[in-house]
Amino acid sequence: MAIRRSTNPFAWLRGFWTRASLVFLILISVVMLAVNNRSGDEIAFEGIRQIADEVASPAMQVIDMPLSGVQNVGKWFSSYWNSAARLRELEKENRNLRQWETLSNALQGKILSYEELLNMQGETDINVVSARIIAEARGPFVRSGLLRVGRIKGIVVGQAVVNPQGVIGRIVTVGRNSSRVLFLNDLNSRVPVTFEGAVSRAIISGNNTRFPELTYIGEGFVPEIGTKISTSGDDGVLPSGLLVGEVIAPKREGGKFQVKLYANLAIVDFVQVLSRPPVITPEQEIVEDNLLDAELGDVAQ
Amino acid sequence: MSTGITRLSSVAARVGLIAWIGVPTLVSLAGLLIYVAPIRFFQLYIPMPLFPLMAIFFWAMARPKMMPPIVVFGIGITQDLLTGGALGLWAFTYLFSYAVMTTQSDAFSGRGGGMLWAGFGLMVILTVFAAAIAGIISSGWKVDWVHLLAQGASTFFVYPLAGKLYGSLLRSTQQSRRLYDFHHGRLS
Repeated sequence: MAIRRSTNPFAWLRGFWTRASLVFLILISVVMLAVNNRSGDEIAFEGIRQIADEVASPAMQVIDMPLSGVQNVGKWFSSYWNSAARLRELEKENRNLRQWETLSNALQGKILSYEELLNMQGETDINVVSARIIAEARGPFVRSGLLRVGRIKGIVVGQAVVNPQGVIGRIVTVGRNSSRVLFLNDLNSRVPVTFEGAVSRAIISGNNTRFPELTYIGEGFVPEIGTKISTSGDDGVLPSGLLVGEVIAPKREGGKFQVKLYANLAIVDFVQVLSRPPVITPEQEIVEDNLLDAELGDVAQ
Repeated sequence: MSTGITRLSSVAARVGLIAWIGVPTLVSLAGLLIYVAPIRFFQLYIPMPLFPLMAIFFWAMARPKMMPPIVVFGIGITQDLLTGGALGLWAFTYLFSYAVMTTQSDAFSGRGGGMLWAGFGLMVILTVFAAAIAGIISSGWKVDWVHLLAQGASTFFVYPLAGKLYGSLLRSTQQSRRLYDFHHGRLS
């Protein structure tokens, strides 16, 4: 491509204001980076991010429409090509699932009758909101996705986001009509989990790779390779028992155990946001009662 | 009648001028939207090329006045916001690369496509380096190096195509600029 040679390519840079603005803007960027670093678990500039997501989500939805159409053509061809083999596979899977369904129904009935006998207060009901990821960030620094559902649909920060394979992340920012999900492998992601067949707990910490690490494993507990991991619900935000993945060996001797996630985070498309009423702690209840008493007192006077 | 046509033509020239100024910004933003779109090929994820960097490089080399620092900053901040990453990360990266590329524009301007591509390659290396520094400042050493390098490579290989597209855009908008100048007596 031909680029016109300027008679004086440095002339614009010699302008004081241009140079000054360049230095000033680089300094602003560095300050912003430092603020991000100091904010820790808090999400820096949250208000600006919410506004940006709100503005971007309609545009992203428009861009996503033709893209998803084209990608669906590819999916259709691929499924058509393998249809006979897939049909056989599905028939076999269906036979197995029928047996499991019978067993599952019997066990569910048994559990319900035990819960009734013990007057067990179970988990609160979970509402499900389905959505599609319309934009995603899979750069070297962040792993997140933008959803076209927000506060209006009952989405709040902290809610779990799952797909049919398992947990993919949690909601970190919410706007009126949009929300952002932070994937489990993002650097800032921390999710409390429990191991199948054990009472020990751990935290899954994202490390910007395909295999997040297991940190804060209960003292003395060494997980076996292949052990299934599910959410513990200890944070009071995510429901317990959601399948996450399984334990894989550390990369190097003495390193941290890693997790092979069941959900393939490279091809996340449709997801479900699980919302449940937040658990109100006794301390919060006391504060609320005191406030109510004070208000009633004011009315009485 | 002829006055009406002249006036209409003048309005068109003005619109053309706005397009001439706004095209680099719009092209960069369009590239940014493609960058964050969930595009996959055969159910596989490939590291998205940094389309905004290509636009910044092209216009910083061809028409620096059309790509002032504030626009580069805006593109970087928008990328940070759209990706949900640390605010200032891509703004710093692009401004840093931009500062270097503008001081080196003399070495590349007017050269052939191959030389310009090589120059862009150097700029990609510099950008990857700046992004790594920005990533370390904002989030410590936990940077996905493989992804960063793969993204740099995909950006480098896609540039010739993007460069051709930007070149044709530049030529078409230049005609609008000439029309504007003609209407305002700056060009005979």
